Formats: sequence, C-alpha cells, structure tokens
Amino acid sequence: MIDPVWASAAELGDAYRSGAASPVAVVQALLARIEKLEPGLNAFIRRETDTALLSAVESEARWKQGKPLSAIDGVPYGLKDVIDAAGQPTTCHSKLRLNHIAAHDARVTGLLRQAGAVLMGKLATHEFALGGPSFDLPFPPARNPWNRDYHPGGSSSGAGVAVAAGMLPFALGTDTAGSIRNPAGACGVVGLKPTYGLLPRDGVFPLAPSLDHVGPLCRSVADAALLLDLLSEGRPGHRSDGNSYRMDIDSGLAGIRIGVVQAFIDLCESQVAKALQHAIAVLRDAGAVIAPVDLPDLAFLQTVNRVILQAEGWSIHAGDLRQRAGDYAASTRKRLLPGAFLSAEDLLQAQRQRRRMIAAMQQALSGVDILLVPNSFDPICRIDDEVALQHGYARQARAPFNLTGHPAIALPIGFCDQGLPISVQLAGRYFDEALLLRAARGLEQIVSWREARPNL
Amino acid sequence: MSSVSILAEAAGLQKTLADFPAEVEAAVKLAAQQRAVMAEASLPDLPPLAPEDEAWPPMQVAQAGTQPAGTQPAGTQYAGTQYD
Repeated sequence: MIDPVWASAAELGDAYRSGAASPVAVVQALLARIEKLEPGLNAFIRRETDTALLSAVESEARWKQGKPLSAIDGVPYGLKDVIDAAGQPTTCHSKLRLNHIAAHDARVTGLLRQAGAVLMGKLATHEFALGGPSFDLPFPPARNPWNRDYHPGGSSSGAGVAVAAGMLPFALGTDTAGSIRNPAGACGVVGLKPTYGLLPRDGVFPLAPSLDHVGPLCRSVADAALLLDLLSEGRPGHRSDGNSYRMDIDSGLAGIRIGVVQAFIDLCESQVAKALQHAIAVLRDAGAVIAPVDLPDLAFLQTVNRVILQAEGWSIHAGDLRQRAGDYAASTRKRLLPGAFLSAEDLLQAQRQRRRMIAAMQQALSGVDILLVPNSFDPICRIDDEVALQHGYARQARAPFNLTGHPAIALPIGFCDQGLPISVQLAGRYFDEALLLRAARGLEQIVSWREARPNL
Repeated sequence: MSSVSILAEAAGLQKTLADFPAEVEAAVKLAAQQRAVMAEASLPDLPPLAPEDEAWPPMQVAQAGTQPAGTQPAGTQYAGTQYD
C-alpha cells in the first residue's frame, strides 16, 4: 500500500493507474497533513482546500473511466507565490501585492492544470523571490522541517518545506541566483533549474528577467524528469530526439565524465566538504570518470550576477522603492536599492563579463559531461541568525549557473551533525538535461537519503 | 549636499533617503564596490557586445529549435506578465 504522504509524483500516478490509491484519498490525506503542520512550518501562504477536493473528485472520475489527462492527473502540488493561478492572489509574500488577483494562469500553471494536477495552494517565498527570511512581512517565514529553528533556504522556501515535510509531492519554484537549489539543499529534496528558457515564465512575477528560471522541487530525480517532460514539451530546446527525459535516467553512471571544481569544494565547511568527497568517491566507484576542472573566480562570478540582478530588479521595483519603500521588508529593500546606483555602463560591462563567464563554463564543459560543485558551502544556519544569514548569502556555487544559463540540479547527499541536510549540485551542458538527470539519478540511487524523514 | 544625497536625488529616492538613510548610503557603497570589482577584472581586449552576442541564452534557444510565435497549449490563457 502506498503512503500518500511520502510517495513521489510518479508513484502516485502509478498507484492511481493500478487502483492502489485514489486522488480523493491522497488529497484528503495531504490536507490532513497540512492541517496538522500548519501554521508552524509556514510553508503555505494560501491553501485551496475546496477546489483541491473538487479537482481530486474530477480526477478520480477520469481515472475510473481510464481517461487520465496525464501521468500526474490527480497528483497534488503547490506554487511558489510568485507564479500566477487564475483567480487567486499572487502576493509575492509582500505587503505591496496583497490585493493582486491573477487574471490568468501562468503558463506552467496552465500546463499542470491541463495535466490534471491538483493545486493545493500558494507557497511562502522570500519577498519578491529576493530578500531573506523576514519577520516584517504580512506572512511569517517558512521554517525548516528538520529543525524549526533553522532556515529552510530560499527564496522558494515554502516549496522546499512542503515537499520535505510530506505536505506535497512536488512544487514549482523560481531561481534567479539559486532560489530553487538553496531550499532543495536545506530541506533535503531534489531541485532542478533547467537551462535558461527551457520552461516558460509567462505569468511569473520577474526578479531579473535575464537570470530568472522556473523549475520543480520534488522527492526524486525521476519526478524532476517527469515534470520536465510535461512542462517543456513543445518548447524551444526540448529534447531534440523527442524522447522522454525519463528514458535514460536509469542507464547508470558508467563512462560519464564528471568534472570536479575542487577550488569551490576547498571553500566548504568541513562536514560539507567531507560529504562532497564521499559523493565523488561513490561516483568514481560506480564507473564515472572523475577529472579536475577549473572555473573563474567564484566571487567575481557572483559579483557579475549580482550587478545584473540588481539592475534588472531596480527596473521593476523603482517606482515602489521611490514611493513606498517602507512597505518592503528591510532585507528586500537592502538588496534592491543598490540597483538604483548602477549605471548603464555598469550593466553593459557586467553583460560583457557574462559573455566571458559563459565561454569559461563552456570550456569547462568541453572536456567533461557534468560539473560537480557544492550547493551551499556551509550547513544551513538558524533562521534568526542575521550574521550567519548574511555571511552565507555568498557562500554558495549556485549563482554562476544563473549567469551562464546552464542547467543545474541539487540533491541531498547526507546530513551534518545538527541533523540538517547537505546537498551536492551537478550542472550540465545547455539543453542536455537528459544526461544531467541520468547522472543525478545514478548518484541518488547510491547515496539515497530519500527515505530519511523529518521528525514532525 | 552630500554625494549620497545627490545620487539619491538623481535616482528619485529623496523620500527613501529621508526614511532609510543608512540603507541608501549602504546601497551607494555596495554599488561602488561592485563597480570596482568589475573594473579590476576588465581586460583591454574584451570586445564590446555585438547584437549577435548579447542575448546569448535566447540565442541558444533559438538555435536549438523554434516554436511558431504565439503557440500555446489549447485551453490555457496567459497573463503575458513575463518575457517569453
């Protein structure tokens, strides 16, 4: 019998098909789970109890008729609250957007609706997908399910928490400087940032359009592949051979060339570095070819990413920052305001540097198939530790892949002494998510932490 | 008038400066620091952006395949609040 609380999206679809589970029973079980855990983890900004049950009833009827809309018909999910769902608020976790009601679905929401997936609600984020865990907003910040005193990562914090806590099998987040991979790592789930442009962003509130990505947070690499199939079909850059992203994921690690960026690992706290070295050893033992690889200076990569993010972010928020800056959380305001003092020259110089960074990343990927880098350099810190939060903001290797647009996936590889997850990041070539997912799946099968559950 | 005040006024941030002077000052400093980091790394042979170079990720997408303009899955309507 399948456990509806901890099943993956693919497992739920299989169970619906075989009759081992029903959408109504699963949605009811998850609603009860959410009711038990909320408020407390604060993953949800808004729950959709009635419409979720109605959608589940409709889905169940389709399965009984043998006419499901997709493999995830009736599978519950959540949306980071920067992604529109028709008729519902998209608050961006901000006082400035409390009265906003989305007129239409975001394109990704529409695709999930067409697939019959059941929207359970909108999920907490750092304000406008930027700030940090803030206590001066209309909604409280999400809490890490492994220890509620700790930060769950962000900005797709509610998505990471809901999936890790057994409230949802998957959620969609956004990622401009690591905002899918950070909460995935901190909460111990899988987070995929696909190649820039592979997934549509219509109806997603932008932070920095040339860096913004949409992607899934889920319980397994197989689910990430399943969702990528569904959300990228027909998109430019979708698998050119027309095959499923799931097709090759169980082909193993043998022969895959993995480039290790040791200079980034050397920056890691000892527990994180140890877990990464263990993952590298496991990959080698499984037949992957490990090779050293160099990338440009990380601090410089992050500076270029930040200049572009701040300039583009300012272009979106300038009006509100001039007229009602006090309505932003302090942390959001601090991160957006520098954009006001960047010039056109600064932005264009950053774009020129970006081109160099892309060339360097392409060069690194010319001799290997996959890059292995840390996700966060440190175990996640307490949610109220302002100093550690600020210190950790740049201690990560996620932003370079927003700058260059290469696909990257985060997955758990262990736990630190405090019992909080540690994560690795793999990155691949443009639009070669198939190989990236295969490598991630191979690693996941060996160092699987999926069976670990937070004590809630 | 301080340099921060001049810059804030140029950005239309007089009210914000009055309400959050330390944050505006910190933002001015951070922007300058970032500018300095990029200036140090700029190479004399780094060419200016050409149109074919600039929009690299969309260019990559365009090269990988195209989709007819306006193609949308049936049954969905899009807000158009983003940039695809």
